[in-house]
Amino acid sequence: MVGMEAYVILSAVLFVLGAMGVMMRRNAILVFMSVELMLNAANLALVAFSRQWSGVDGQVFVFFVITVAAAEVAVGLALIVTIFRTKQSINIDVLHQMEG
Amino acid sequence: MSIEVILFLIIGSVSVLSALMMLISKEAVHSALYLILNFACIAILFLMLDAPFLAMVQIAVYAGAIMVLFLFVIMLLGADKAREELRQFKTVFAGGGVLALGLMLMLGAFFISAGTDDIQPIPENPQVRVLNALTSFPSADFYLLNEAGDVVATFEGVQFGTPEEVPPFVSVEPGTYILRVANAGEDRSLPVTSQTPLTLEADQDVTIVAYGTLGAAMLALPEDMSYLEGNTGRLALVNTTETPLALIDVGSDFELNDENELETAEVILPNLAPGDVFVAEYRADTPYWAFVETTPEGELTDRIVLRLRGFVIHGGRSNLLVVGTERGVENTLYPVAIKFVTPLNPAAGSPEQIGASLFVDYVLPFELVALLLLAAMVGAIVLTQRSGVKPKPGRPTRRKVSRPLTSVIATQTGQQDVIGEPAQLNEPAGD
Repeated sequence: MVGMEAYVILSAVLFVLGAMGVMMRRNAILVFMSVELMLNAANLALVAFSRQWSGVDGQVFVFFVITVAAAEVAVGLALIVTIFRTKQSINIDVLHQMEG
Repeated sequence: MSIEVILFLIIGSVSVLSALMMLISKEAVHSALYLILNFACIAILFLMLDAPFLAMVQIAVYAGAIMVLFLFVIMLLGADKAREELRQFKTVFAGGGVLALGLMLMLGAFFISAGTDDIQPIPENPQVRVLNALTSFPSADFYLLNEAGDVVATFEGVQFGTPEEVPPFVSVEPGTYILRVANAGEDRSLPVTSQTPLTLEADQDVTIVAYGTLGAAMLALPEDMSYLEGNTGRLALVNTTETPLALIDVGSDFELNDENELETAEVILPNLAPGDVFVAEYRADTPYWAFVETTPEGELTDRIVLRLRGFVIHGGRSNLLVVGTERGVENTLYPVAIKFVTPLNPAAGSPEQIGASLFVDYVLPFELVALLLLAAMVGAIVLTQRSGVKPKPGRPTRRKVSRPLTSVIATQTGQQDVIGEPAQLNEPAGD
């Protein structure tokens, strides 16, 4: 049986890859996808812990995370579409009016 | 290396590779496709972690809905527009490297210092229920008393014999208890008490079988309510009569006389002493079984004590069969089968188990998440409206009634004084 450590380390690797994606990519859609990857990595760790403790709560939380991710994607992509309409670009380097 | 380890290595490396490819693909569409592969890998990992329901949700929601939304937006904005160059800053790679290193160090320190071997499930309180097989109490109240003599649980009006509805387990603290019995609805100052104290340990599901013809005896039967694979059920036999019994399979021919029956019968259980329990796992079946009296030495006699007619072993359930004693006419005592069928706990990670937790322990978060989804839906629609949300231009002014109704009626009927006699108007006003 594969231990919990292996799953948690895999989830950490995926999380770091997602975080690097958020930092490296300029395309807002790709940044979003990287955030999804990070959420998934967290889900994997939650399910691994849930099995280790032989409880169901971790899995319920993963269910909630998936739901919240769906809501987040719906709003985020709507934002991206709106921004693209006004700026003709979704490059996050172009969208820097908020810079102080 | 077991198959599971090999599978984990393959799936894990595919998921890491697909995440990497997502990271460095120039085309946004390719990135999205690699991410779908990554999600599929994680769904398989969920399956390996005993979470089949989440694996299904992962495929349906992530790989299905969310990624389709992503692909849709990429196509909507034009795939060329989504093409981009990676940032070439060295600081990003350095930052990522430091982040990764820090996370790994933290995890390593955690696993080395804490370890995972001593992580044990939190023990749950023992659960108790009572089955009434008392010949002298057709309906009884049971009181569970702790060592201090306080009543911690009551089971009221427990009917003798096979209950129509299986009473639920009652959760109590671990410890030593005494069970008291009284006739249903009667004063409990003169109860019968169990001779031996019952010790209930954590994580136990205990069915207390109360039996006895004159006094009351108790038998605490710890039941294994964990999930069973396939069409198998757990069977527990309890002998509460005063004679030792043997269980035989008489086959389907009930019409044979006793001698032939006993010659051809297959002995399943040679000796079940009074107060003994026999526990086994059986496939779901409708067996033709009978109990035969045995001598104290364990020799089978030819006296069939009880035939189990219409006895069904249910799969996925705990089947408890108690041979009790019932009082018939003129105080004759005869054995009777008391059946007690309870569903076993659902499998780990099954929709049943998650649903039970979701709708019992997490109802409020569930409703809040539903509200959040609703808000997100409205938000997405509002955001993508081309010119924001404006109220629809309506009619500029309200239509006014230029003339009172009575004058309309007057012009139509040619009469002036319709006021005061509305009952005479046969035709409705207006057109």
